[in-house]
Amino acid sequence: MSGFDVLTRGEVLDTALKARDYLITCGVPAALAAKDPRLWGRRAVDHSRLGWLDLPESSQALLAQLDDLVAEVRYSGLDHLVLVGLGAEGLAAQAIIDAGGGADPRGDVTVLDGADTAALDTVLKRLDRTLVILSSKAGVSIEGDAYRRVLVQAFRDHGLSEQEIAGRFVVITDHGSPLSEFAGQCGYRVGLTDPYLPGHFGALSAYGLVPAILAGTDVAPLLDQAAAASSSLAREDDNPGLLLGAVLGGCAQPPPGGVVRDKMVLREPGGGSALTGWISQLLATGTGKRGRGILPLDPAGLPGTDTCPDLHGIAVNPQSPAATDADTSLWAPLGAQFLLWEYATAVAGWLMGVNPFESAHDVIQETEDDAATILQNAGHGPLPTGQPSFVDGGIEVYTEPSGFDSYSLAGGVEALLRRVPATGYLSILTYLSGDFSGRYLAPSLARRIRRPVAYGSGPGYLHGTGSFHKDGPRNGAFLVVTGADLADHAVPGRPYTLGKLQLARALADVRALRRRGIPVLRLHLRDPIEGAGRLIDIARDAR
Amino acid sequence: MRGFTAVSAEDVRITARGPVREAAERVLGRLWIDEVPVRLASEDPTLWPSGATYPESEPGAREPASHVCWPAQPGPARALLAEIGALVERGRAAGLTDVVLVGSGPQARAAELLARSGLRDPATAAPRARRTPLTVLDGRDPAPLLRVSLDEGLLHRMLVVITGESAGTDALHRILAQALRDKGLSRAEVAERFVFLAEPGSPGAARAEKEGHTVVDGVAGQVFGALSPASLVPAALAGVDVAELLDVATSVLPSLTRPENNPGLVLGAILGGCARAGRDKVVLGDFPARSAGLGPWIASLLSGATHGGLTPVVQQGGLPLAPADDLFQIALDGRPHQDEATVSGPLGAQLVVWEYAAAVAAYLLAADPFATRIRTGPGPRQTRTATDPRANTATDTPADTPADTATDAETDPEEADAEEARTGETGPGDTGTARAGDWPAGSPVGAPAFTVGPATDVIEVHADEKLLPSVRDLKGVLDGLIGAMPPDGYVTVMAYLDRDRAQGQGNGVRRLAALLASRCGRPVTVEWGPFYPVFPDRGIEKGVFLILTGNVMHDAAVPDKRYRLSGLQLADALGDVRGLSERGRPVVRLHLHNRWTGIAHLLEAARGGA
Repeated sequence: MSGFDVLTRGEVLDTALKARDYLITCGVPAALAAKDPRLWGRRAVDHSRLGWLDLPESSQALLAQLDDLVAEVRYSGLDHLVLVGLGAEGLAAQAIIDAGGGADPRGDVTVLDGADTAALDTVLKRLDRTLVILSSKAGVSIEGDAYRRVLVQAFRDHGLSEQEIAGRFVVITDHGSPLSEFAGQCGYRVGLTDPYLPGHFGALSAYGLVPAILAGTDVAPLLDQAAAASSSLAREDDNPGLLLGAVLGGCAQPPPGGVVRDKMVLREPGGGSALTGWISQLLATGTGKRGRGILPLDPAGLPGTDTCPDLHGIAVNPQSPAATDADTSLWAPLGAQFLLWEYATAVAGWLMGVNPFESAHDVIQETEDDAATILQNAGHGPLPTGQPSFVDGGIEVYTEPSGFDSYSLAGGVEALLRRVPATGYLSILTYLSGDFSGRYLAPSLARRIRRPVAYGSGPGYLHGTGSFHKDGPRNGAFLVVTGADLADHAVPGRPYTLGKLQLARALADVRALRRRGIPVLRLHLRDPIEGAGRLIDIARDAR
Repeated sequence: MRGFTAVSAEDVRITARGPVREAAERVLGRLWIDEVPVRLASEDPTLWPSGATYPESEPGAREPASHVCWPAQPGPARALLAEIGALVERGRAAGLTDVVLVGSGPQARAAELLARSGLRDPATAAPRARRTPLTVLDGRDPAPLLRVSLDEGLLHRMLVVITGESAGTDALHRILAQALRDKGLSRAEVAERFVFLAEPGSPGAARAEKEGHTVVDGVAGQVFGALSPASLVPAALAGVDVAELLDVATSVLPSLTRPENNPGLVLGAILGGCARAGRDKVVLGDFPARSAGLGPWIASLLSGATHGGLTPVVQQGGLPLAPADDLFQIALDGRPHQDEATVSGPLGAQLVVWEYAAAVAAYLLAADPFATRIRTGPGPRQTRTATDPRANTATDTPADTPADTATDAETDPEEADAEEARTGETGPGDTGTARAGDWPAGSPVGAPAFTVGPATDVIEVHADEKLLPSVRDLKGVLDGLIGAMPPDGYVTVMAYLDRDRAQGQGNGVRRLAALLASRCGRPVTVEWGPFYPVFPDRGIEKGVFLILTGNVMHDAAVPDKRYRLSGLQLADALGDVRGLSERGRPVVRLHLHNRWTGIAHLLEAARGGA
């Protein structure tokens, strides 16, 4: 797999070709080749905003720097990696590890992103072999802080000295972030990155590479693949990144008298991998702002063929163009995908008139601060969840006063579904431990409302894609599912548990969405397992 | 430097990169010039004088030296497959599903490894059973023995395999037989529960036969015996398919005769080449989730074969180790682009390749692996001979015959060992508590330099005054010991305690090793007494030794003898202390009056102030 190719067809092809010509006329590829960021507005003049273009080369130095750390970790038998990171940072590392092609198929990586408290239990069983990576661009997230406290306490209880504990943590953060100072005080090893590098463009930076290398991924071939792609990105003709960007940005522009195709279905052979998750956050954060944005979707959330004219599909590495019904097919080695999509996002952002390098920091900070306030006010007591509108069979339903017309769960869900705009979408957010996710509800709900359904779990989903949902077209309706936590962990030195934190995050997200006038229905499952079963039944209940 | 070189044969794959690869490449020429593969394949006695298996090559030999297990030889065990099969059938028919193995050294470790690997399905790695049906009694600690002899269920379904002859195995034999008799088994029924590994015609075999025990032709105390009856018999009785194992092992043999692309030769060149280049400590990355737990066996194999020319450090996760110029790393099922060297492959094939490699390394380091006397006998006497490192190699042939070994074993319990052990007598009763502190001055226990802790759980510190001047606390003891270590040295924690992870002090001692490693930034090895192998020719001059002994809660009296098990154990420990001191090694012995609180205090001291 060495060739790069983007094939597109049908209406999408016409749109894309027009957009590409326009891009070339305006000098966008030339500006990118010259690494000139001025096209994206005055605020983006800082040249390091385009630093991601150099990452395939500049990260080579990182590999050499990491040799000592890798050797020490391998000598010390730390072969189980815990990655604490929400949103972009965690997704980048997971995508690189996946892309590494299973060089170490049994490689043990556990991601702690606040979604599943059960994941922590597996970590606590392997403390002897565990190395923890705290990865956060902006600084200490509430989850990062909580997990660090829980793990430090667990190491201490296991009998490790403070010196040993410090040796078990590696921190990746920006120069000058609050986390870097804190980590230095604790004696943790710190990897610092360029604060001006946009976080959602950082797959090939330390955020993606350091955890992947420590997890045993051979990243050198991935960087080589990316470097090979970067030469083709400097061209004007036959530039796969430019065409992909033209497809994305061209479709998302309102055509005269037509329908905006601003929802994109990403198809990967064998189902969505971590790469899909990473591309989703890149597009959602890169384009989702100023009332615009591209919504990345998973095939599971589609209502069926041809019912949504505002959708277009992109298949990643399909076996043949004929094997997929996607409008666009993209072939590139996995290492090149990262750079290709970053380039395409930059191009699409320019076409859509948004600054793709602007981070989602404000949106993230807003809900984090909200959650912190909720937790502070609650103290040791229960969270201010408010009164449920009604309770139906162990499921508490929280909705706006006008949001239901019958005191039944099915009625509440039905009312929410009716509020999905004609060009909008439904989004299912789950804040639960265990296996249940929106994936179980999405297909049947999508068929029912004939609109696409996006889904994600934990605070991580909105961390990664919140920019689109909150500052994008705001044409979504949200089904938020929370639940009582069965296996909870206290956070040492804090008055809350991980489960309580998760619920506080959900409450803060619900508030942030409602504040923007987005319809939200929150369901709280008193018994998560039984409740999940009922939800699936209700979703399937065709009317 | 991310590139690596790989050698593969029959699913066995060895990789190396960086300085380790260079060190190996430097000695491959030597191995080729000296025709080591051919000589190993033909069992050439000129490789090691004491390794002769053919009587005609040793004109002075009184009888065939068939007691030597040549490395990487699954052949001899194959001849016994029918006999082993019959044993297994008999055990199964009688409902004897659990095996208690009395033995030590690489063969016992191999048996343990095989039994544990039998727990997992080789194809899917899915667990087949939750508990290994093999219990190894390799030390003299009463606790593991009492777990067997007081377990009603286990007594009903256990078969005891006894390998090696010494006061220790004899004592365990007597105690287990007594426990069975106490359950009301007749003399004949008891006799059926024991299987002896002994050479035909040896006094041990004769005695076992007289008592009605089954005797299988085999010999214990071998460095290269992973595929010998002493490990295969207990493994087979514990449910391992040894025929299949031998098939896998045999399949790799042709590749070991090659001069090129020979995985055993390459692995041996890595081991020997690195040691010759000054990297004489090998970190064995044995990640429990991946490999079958090969580390402990490889460690005993390597230190036995090279006489300490290589110091193995088994890394099972979490022992803080920093790379250094005198260390190198071999990861089992590791990451070829990250680890300095990796070995992967099916278990049966790895047993063969590692033995072959250990032999090659021994050759490169001019160590005679067959001269290693694995202690099957008790401490003090062996220690005395071991104080002269040349003693073993001097006994090239005649003195090293099985007859002589047997004589050793025969006299041992009666003389030296028992003499030391008797000192530990404190009074009658089956479960008395041996209190070292109560012993009269002038006993081998000696008076402690000082004691720490409250009266009920005192820790006695026994050390040379010169080593720990003006030190009065545990932290000072640890720092003093670490301070006596040379820059390229290491610490050995030698515990004469219960090695069981949960029920004994296994976890505590392991944790102590990690804390010490973090404290001194040097490798820390853990040995469970009695020390194996008995002080090798070299390799210990860089070590400092922390010896842990402890009072026992419940002792086990040896029927018909005047000593108890804890007496034997303490005698071993004191013998090791004396042997190490005589060779000028810094050694501290801590005697824990209460093992649990004692370990906790030690951990606290090791944790603090670092």
